Amino acid sequence: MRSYIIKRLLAAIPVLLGVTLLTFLISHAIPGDPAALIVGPKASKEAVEAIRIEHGLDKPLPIQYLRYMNGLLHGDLGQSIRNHRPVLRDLADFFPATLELTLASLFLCLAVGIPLGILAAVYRNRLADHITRIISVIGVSTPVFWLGLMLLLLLYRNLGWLPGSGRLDITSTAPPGITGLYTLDALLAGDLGLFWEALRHLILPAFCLSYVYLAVMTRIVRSSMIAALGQDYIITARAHGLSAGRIIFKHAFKNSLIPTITIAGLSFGELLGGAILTETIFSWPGMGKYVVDSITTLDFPAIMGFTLVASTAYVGINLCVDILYALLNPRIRY
Amino acid sequence: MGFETHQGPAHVLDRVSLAVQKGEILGLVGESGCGKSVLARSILRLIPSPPGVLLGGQILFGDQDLLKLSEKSMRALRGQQISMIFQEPMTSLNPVFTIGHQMREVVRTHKPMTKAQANAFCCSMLATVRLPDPDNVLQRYPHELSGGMLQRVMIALALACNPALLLADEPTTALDVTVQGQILAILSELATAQNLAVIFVTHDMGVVAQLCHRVAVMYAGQLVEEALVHDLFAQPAHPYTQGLIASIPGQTPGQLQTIPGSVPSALQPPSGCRFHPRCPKSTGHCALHTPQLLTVADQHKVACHQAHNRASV
Amino acid sequence: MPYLILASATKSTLPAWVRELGLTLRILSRNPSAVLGGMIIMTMAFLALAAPFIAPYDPIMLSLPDRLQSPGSAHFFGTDELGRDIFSRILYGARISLTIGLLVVGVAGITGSLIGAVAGYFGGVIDNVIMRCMDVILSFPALVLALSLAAAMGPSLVNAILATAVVMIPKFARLVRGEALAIREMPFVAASRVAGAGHLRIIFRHILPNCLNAAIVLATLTLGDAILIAASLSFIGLGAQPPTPEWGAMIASGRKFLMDQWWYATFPGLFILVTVIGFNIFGDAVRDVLDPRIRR
Repeated sequence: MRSYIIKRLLAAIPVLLGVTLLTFLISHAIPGDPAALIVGPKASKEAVEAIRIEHGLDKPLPIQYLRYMNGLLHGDLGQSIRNHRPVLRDLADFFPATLELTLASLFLCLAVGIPLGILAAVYRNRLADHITRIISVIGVSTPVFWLGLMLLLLLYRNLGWLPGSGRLDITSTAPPGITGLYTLDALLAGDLGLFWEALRHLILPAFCLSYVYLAVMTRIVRSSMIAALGQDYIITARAHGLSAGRIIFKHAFKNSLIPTITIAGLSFGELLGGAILTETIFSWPGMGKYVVDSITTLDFPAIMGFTLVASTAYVGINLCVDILYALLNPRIRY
Repeated sequence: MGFETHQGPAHVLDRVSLAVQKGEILGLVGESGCGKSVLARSILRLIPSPPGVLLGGQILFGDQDLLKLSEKSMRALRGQQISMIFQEPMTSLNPVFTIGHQMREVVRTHKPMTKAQANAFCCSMLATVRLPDPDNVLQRYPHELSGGMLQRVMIALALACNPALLLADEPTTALDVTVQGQILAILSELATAQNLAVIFVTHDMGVVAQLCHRVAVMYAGQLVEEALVHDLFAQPAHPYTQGLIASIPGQTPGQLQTIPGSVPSALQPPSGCRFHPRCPKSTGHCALHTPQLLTVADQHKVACHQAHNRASV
Repeated sequence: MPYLILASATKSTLPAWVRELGLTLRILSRNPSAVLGGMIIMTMAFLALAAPFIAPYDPIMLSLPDRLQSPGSAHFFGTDELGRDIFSRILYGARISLTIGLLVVGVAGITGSLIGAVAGYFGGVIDNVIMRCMDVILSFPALVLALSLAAAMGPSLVNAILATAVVMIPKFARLVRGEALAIREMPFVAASRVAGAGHLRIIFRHILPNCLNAAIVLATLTLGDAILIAASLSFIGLGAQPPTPEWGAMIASGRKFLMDQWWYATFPGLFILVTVIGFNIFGDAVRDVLDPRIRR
């Protein structure tokens, strides 16, 4: 097992190199004048020229790439145009909020998507299946940003059930930062009132973000459950007198998890992309809102820094999925 | 027993009546698609519904009608009183659990045992099917064992709870010939030792001759002949049985006999005797009238007008 | 529908194509979700084409006295902050969204298929290099990559379309490569090589036409996604710029008025939703009929 993990880790290195190469090309080769993008739209000609020299943008591209990589290895993602802070510092500040949001959405997806998928598979082509199908077709077709607005309109504006923006009420102060996840930190601090407040703020954005992903999840669970339930070993299990519950939730489900987690990992990118839009709608102070704010101010270094961090996270998630896959599937040879 | 299909209902089993006693191995033979596997599976009520529909009949086990049992009591019966082994040992076990895990689960479903007790019990069961190093086998995943080994595991699993009836659905078809012999020997030995009633489904007349006491021959969902093994091979009464026996390779050196034509569709079975389109001895009468299964000699029943005439019943 | 256009464009195999097309349409017409999806698509296409005739108002002209009117008989979907009729803007927006979808899928489909055909046909090092490049693109979350590409090229609708297309290229490349790997082993390819056909000729005469079916299925499936990603870019501010009546951009400006003028952001989003649903269920049905191998 250990050698398998090491092999997977090694295989991720060229992928990450490719990711840095592509981000480098996007930031250095595509723009007409990368220097102008780095200093921002309001800079003088002299300032642009100074940046060009300072960042070595007058040198050939391969040299620039080496400089870029050198910077990355030293944790240098460039400097934000807006606040002149290192982009990495900014992203680190906004990271926990995004993590809390995506984890909450992921939890919702699994908690709702898996049972729904199983239900649809077991009652295939019956009412439950058709309803699930409709829910998931709408899910993959809904613009996340519009869904967020509609949720705000209904649950915040009209019904007033849930707060509509931020991670806490404006008057509240954040719990002592241990994990950076407000709900968890509030619990750790023993402040149930604050926990409830943070949770209420989390519900709308997490639901909004999870919906698209949920639809994908339900479809995969359904189809892999149907495949698993058609296998010979299911008949064997029935012939040996095992209960329907055991057969469905244990024997078929564990097999269906193998294809499910692979596709779930691949679809995680949609969750990351959706986080950008969701955070914007709900003023959730995470990396996604940060990048959209950067777009409005044309803060190019910040945009590229986010791109790199998000795709690294995506690669990392899929690495974890590969390892999980091997744990679930005894047929993998290490 | 019938099925709803896209092209209307298909009667897969039609007026099949069979009985098997304790300690007896009944062979159920016929070509692929004649309904033998469906018969075996319907005894355990494993046919999914839809598309399967039971149109009527009785399955008596002791004096219980299995078709009238609740799903719950049926489940208690499965694996406990009636067990089954299947054609494809490679896919009949769940690939993501170890052999031990799956065996213990079945055993503990039917018997109150601790995990350790169940483990020891499974070990002894594996030993009775002559698997070497049972402790090690229990920790393996299905893909790490050969087909022959897996089929022994399946037999051990099927016999773990001392069932009264074992349904064997072509258990040796997917295996190498040498392994086939071993599996048959184990089955035959254990059946005798446990005084089991066995219904052995196969299309291989050779296996039948080697293993079974009594044989029932099925054609297109109907029973056409039933006799003790010796009588059947010595004096096959139904032309279809005669064809089957003639087509065992190696009987008439240098040539392979076949039965011309193919198995009819269950959607639109031929009128009269279902075998008449392929029968070398058929007459106009056969196409119009369905023959009854009648006794022609001691413990020998056949459904064929010609055979009835000869025996003049 | 791209299927029709492409199908009739392959002249040499026309009779077979026509027969196959007829069969496909007949099977599709028996599939309720295909019919529903097709009807949605056709309605949207009709609205887009007929926008100048149906739209009661000019989509761009300002009319400040009419600003932020609620939906009513004068303005079905109300007006925006500059007094423009939202219904009319949505109709013209249908033109933009459908064009975006077709352009993205067209660019991505053609580029991706070419890349995939080259990779699959030549194999070896070329295949390896190309497919690793595709893997790199796939290791970015789609919206994130589209966003940074669009940001680097500068905010405009054309750039948003290009950025979205780049993200979609690997899907087509992977698919066509797989097909090409199989096709290049076929006897007719060997025969044509023996007859002296060059690589280019083989790729264009044999490999690509035989991948067409699969590529069209994928294109149908991708259309909805393409519209969604492009609308998201416009919403962020990287796509269509004002006063273009693009749906995503309309939602972005309507967002400021959400609390009091609910109709402003609601209706354009509803149209995105319905259009994408149309493409998605139609695409699913086409896949089921034409090519059961492609799975999402």
